[in-house]
Amino acid sequence: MVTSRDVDRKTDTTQTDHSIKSGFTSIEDFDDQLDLDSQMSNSETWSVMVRGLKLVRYAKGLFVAKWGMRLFYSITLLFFPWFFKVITDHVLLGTPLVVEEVNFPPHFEPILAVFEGMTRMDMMLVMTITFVFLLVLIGTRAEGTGASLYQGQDNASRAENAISSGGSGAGGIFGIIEFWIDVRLTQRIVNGVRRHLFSRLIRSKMTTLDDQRTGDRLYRVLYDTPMLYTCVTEMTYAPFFLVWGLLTTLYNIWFTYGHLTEAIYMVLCALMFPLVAIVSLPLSKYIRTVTQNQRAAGAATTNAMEETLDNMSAVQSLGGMKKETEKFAQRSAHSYWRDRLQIIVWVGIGMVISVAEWPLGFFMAWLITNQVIEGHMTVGDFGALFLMYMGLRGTFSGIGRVWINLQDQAAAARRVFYFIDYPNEDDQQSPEGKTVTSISEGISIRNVSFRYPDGREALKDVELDIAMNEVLAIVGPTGSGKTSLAYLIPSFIQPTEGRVEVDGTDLLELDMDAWRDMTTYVFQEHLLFSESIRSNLANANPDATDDEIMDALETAGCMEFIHELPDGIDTVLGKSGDTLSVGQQQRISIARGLVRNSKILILDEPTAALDPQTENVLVESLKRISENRIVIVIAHRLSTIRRADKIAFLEDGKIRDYGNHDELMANEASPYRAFVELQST
Amino acid sequence: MIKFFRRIGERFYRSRAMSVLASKLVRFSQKDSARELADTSQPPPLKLSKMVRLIGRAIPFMMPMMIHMVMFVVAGVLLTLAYTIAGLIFSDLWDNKMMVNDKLQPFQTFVLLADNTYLQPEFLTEEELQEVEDKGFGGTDLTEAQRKYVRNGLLIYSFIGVLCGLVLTGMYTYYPAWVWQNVNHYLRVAMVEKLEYLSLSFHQSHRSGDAIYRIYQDSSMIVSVLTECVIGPLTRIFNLIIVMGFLIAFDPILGLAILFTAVPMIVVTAYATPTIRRLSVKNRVANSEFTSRLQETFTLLKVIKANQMENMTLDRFDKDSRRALDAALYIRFAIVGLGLICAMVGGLVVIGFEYVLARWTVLERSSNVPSFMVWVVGFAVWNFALFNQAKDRVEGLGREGRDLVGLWCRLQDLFIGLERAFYFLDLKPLVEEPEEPVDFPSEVDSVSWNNVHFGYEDNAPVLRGVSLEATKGNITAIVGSTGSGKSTLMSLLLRLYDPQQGQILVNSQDVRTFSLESIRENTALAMQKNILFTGKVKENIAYALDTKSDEELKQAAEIAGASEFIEQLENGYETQLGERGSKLSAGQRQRLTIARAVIRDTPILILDEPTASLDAQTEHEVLSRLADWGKDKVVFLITHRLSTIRNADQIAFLKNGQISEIGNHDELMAQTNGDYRQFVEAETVGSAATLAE
Ligand SMILES: Nc1ncnc2c1ncn2[C@@H]1O[C@H](COP(=O)(O)OP(=O)(O)O)[C@@H](O)[C@H]1O
Ligand SMILES: Nc1ncnc2c1ncn2[C@@H]1O[C@H](COP(=O)(O)OP(=O)(O)O)[C@@H](O)[C@H]1O
Ligand SMILES: [Mg+2]
Repeated sequence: MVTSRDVDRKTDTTQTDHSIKSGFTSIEDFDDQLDLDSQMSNSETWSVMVRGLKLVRYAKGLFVAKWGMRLFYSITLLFFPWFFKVITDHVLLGTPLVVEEVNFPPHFEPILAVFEGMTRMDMMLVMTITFVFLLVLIGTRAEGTGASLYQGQDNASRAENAISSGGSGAGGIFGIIEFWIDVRLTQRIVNGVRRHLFSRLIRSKMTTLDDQRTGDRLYRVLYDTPMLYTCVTEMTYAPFFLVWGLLTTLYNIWFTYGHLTEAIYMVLCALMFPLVAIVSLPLSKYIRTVTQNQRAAGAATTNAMEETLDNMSAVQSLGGMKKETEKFAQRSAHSYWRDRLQIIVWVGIGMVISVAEWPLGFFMAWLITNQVIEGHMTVGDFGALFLMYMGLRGTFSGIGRVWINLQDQAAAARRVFYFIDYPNEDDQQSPEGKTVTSISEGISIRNVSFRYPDGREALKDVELDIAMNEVLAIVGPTGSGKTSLAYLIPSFIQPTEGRVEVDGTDLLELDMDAWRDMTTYVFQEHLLFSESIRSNLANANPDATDDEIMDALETAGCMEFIHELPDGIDTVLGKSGDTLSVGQQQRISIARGLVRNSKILILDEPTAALDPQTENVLVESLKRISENRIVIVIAHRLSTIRRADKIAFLEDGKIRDYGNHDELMANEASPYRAFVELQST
Repeated sequence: MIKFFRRIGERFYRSRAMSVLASKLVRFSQKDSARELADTSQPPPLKLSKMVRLIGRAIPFMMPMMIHMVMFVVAGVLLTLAYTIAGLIFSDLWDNKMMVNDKLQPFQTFVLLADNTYLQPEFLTEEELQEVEDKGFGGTDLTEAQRKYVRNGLLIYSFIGVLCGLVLTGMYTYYPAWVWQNVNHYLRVAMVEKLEYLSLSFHQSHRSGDAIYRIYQDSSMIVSVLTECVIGPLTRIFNLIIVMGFLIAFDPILGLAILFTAVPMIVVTAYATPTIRRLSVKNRVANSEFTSRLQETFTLLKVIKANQMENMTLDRFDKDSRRALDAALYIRFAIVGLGLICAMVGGLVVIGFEYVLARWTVLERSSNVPSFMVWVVGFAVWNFALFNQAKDRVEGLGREGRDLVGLWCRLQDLFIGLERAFYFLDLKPLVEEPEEPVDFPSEVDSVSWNNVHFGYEDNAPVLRGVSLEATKGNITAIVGSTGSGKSTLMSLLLRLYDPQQGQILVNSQDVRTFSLESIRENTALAMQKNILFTGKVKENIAYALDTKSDEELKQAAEIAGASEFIEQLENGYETQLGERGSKLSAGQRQRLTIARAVIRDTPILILDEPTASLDAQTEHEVLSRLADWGKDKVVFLITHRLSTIRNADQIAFLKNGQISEIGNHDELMAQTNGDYRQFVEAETVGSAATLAE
């Protein structure tokens, strides 16, 4: 079946696989954990559209400019058909031009007056010169300015063109200016909304992060947002210019063919087209469903790809290369199939509309040609009239299609707005949050219970006071809730019951950003940026001086290996820091925590990947810096725990023991003591 | 040839004042961005030969769909031809006959089923002419009723045409989409597959976002290869020739004069091409960087939150997106600008010719249409219909020329995209599959490193001559300070990298003779970084394995000490984990990775700091079970924990890239000032101090 070179393909997954072709009309959930109910009603669709429309706020000036230019160009278009009538009737066919006897609209009469009395070729000459002039200015006779690049058959590659879409009906100097403005307008609007989405996503709650897929986030920010631009155009100047076109056509008809009864027929015919569009209205639901599925399938493909690419070390060491390729292949095939479903639906709708539209067109042609054949109209009249008719038809059917055209966009827009609206940390901020700049007493955790959104209870009735200048060790078996307890302090999670207080003030009443500024959390996983070591640290604290950076690196025991790196502290790390050994990564993330120099420092199992010497140095320096600070260490190693001022022993989400090492060890029945004794055996 | 045009172009360009804009674009395109990837920092000089090579490179991916492509291309050509001819006849009938009431050509009466009273007198014999005149249909004009008859016939035909058109349009939307999606799919999958097999050193230095961009955006260029690189230019040029033929047929002067207008278009295009190419590279690089940045940001949101980096991240977003959007605008603007120049040239031609043609029509100059054509259409002298035809052709030519230039510009971008896509496929993986892989031994008796030298970069060796042997049924503990190369040593066994010197042997068979898959299938590695995947607990444990019964799952979880917490989860083994396997505590994740290694039940097991996040009790339980379970396996254990190390059969101390000491705990402790002994002492300082206090 597949004849491509062997090196290129080993996995044979074709799109003929029928398992992928399920679900024509039903919404399926793909990888989504949060965005599950993507079905939209008509009224929801409408409100999403209106919301899309409001995005125009990102580029008001450009929007007005674009509108103005389009209007101006439309006005110039009022004149051209009549030039061609002059050419046809009076130059080519040689009918004498006598102003009183011919059918031209009033606005053309001044121009007609110029032609009156000229020979056929003189008329032609005047028009030719005019055309040349207009060619340069607005590109008459060489209309249209636009430049979209080639794209593929999937949303991702179409998005690239969509975000820079724009153009002008005109050409020439005017056209190129309008093009620039239009592209910038699109970009501004789309970038506005994608920035908004991005800014919301990076402030997601800690617990939301687990449920969002990186690929999906990418997909929404990069490939869903460009669709929103169409909401703006389709609901603002698109209808406006449709109506404009309608008015101008009616005007032309009225002043030139008003005496002909056919003109009335024509208007009536045209008026039927909204009805045609109504035919397609019930189908809008299908478009939305199909689009939702198509985009979700695309996001699922991105998830698969992103996850495997980003974790290649795990994939390769577990021999999952083939499985991952197959997974991607299957999802890719599925998303393409979803894309084609969309084509089917659109083609179907297009047919319904066309079938309704064309017979009327034929009827018009029949009516007008009757007039020509019976001698009531000239041949030129037919051309002009039929063109106008087509214009009218376009207008009415265009107005009828506004709704249906927007279904795709609305479906994509919903995906964007969903995460813009998803509650995040910004919404938790109390509007007049207090700003604390120093802590005098300490933090107290009062009666706190915490459940994760999926219902798992991690903390039960925790009472704990952490005083200034103290090193607190949180100890306990894995899964006992140590991390969850520590998460309370920088407000990563909020207690489901009880309060966390700083100097007696509930954390919820504080300005979250200011509070976080005073805390530092060093995670168990070592997550580094693929940048230089220096900027990994500097990003965490832009105010840090070089000396401070060096100090932090020294304290965390990084200097010994940094010396050996080719560019020292300016060595650029590989993807997620993986060009260092895991222990080295951990030390850098500890150094990053230290360099923030904040009042509260929380280290989550900082020494897991460290060798004993390094650990000893680190713990000593933690004690040293605890002056005027709070240091919280989650640890398993006795050597670390022992040196803490206070130890909280956690089991099953409850604090079972609290005190310093010696006190606790003195108590025969202490659970902590039992825990320690196990360790020393 | 092109050089010649370019020289002319340059002169043209300097002489005109419009250069301000152009030079701005050129300057932008030459500004180098600091972070461009190595393979795209220079705009590739796209020679014609390279374009052909790229097309050739794309062909294998199109092969499976070739039949369909040929089919729709052929059908397309035939249909276009049919519609063109039909259109020509239709236009003559509509304009000259029905509107202006000339009588019909013989073929026309045939299709309209009209009798000879409709026929032009010159096609009738004497008697027939007489007969027609007797019926009252003499002269060269159609009567009103006849015209209506012709009109009705035409309307019926066009109705049929429209209906067919609808169906064909539907098919022509779906069918190519299906074909091209398949082609793009093949390429995409091939790219991902290739990436799966590229060595880790590649992945560590390549950002995931860039790969995503290449797989989505760059690869999608392949769908336009056939239509735009081959068929597009061919049909356009074919069209040009046909149209020229028509015009020359109408009047030779027309045709020749038009040829000249091609010159300025070609000159400007030749000059602008390198700029467009550079802008295209910029555009793709800027957008891929933007994607990379987003991807990285999204995987590091926790860090951003903890370090208050939100504002900085937003600033970066702004900077990167601005750069990407600018690049997208500039390349489009360059294309539009070039198009504008060509449109001007084309427009002038159209306007000029319209004037001339009008003159000819007024003068009723005789046309050059061959006499046999008169049987089909009535174009013997310049008349209204011929004017319309010729004008349409000239307009078409102008448009065609302009489109051809536009096509050329887009092609530049297309080829640059294709090249970026094939870049992956053309990379040679550093770790290569053997030509004829040897079967992996069913029983592994020993694993050994034989004087192995390795460094990630050539001048920074990590391992300098490591020799180590581990045998079945023994636990080998590898000890050494952070960064001494313990993980590296193990990754060589899995062939995540290949050593620069020395060998790694399994039963004295070099690992490079096994297929990659077979080594990795026969080795289980619990990595130091607990990487889990989004999905169910079950799927994570049995990752990349086809069939594992629930029993086996449970057993593995049991050994790893994970079954207890898994069973407490609401859905047990079916529980869905979050992104990258989140929603578990670190210790729980670690036990899952151990279970994942255990369930593979391979003769070789590597545990890289398996218990770092475990508390002492859990660790103790897990390790004792593991020791039991691994009785007939080769087990490697990397750890800092003394209690664990002590029980190992063999302890290797790694220092300065070499095994400095090897033996069991007691043997090594016996060496005063030995590395291991010092290590043990440092570890116990803490505990010892406790007792003293
Ligand atoms: N994001 C989450 N969603 C649901 N449950 C969680 C999440 N994170 C942790 N848990 C659960 O909460 C409990 C406590 O976890 P954690 O505080 O991380 O433990 P520790 O740090 O003590 O090892 C564990 O049972 C764990 O499975
Ligand atoms: N992918 C890589 N590229 C370059 N250097 C690396 C890479 N991985 C590890 N190193 C370097 O190689 C050395 C050994 O690393 P590793 O084997 O992970 O140490 P460990 O003994 O802690 O397991 C370290 O100095 C580390 O910085
Ligand atoms: Mg390691």
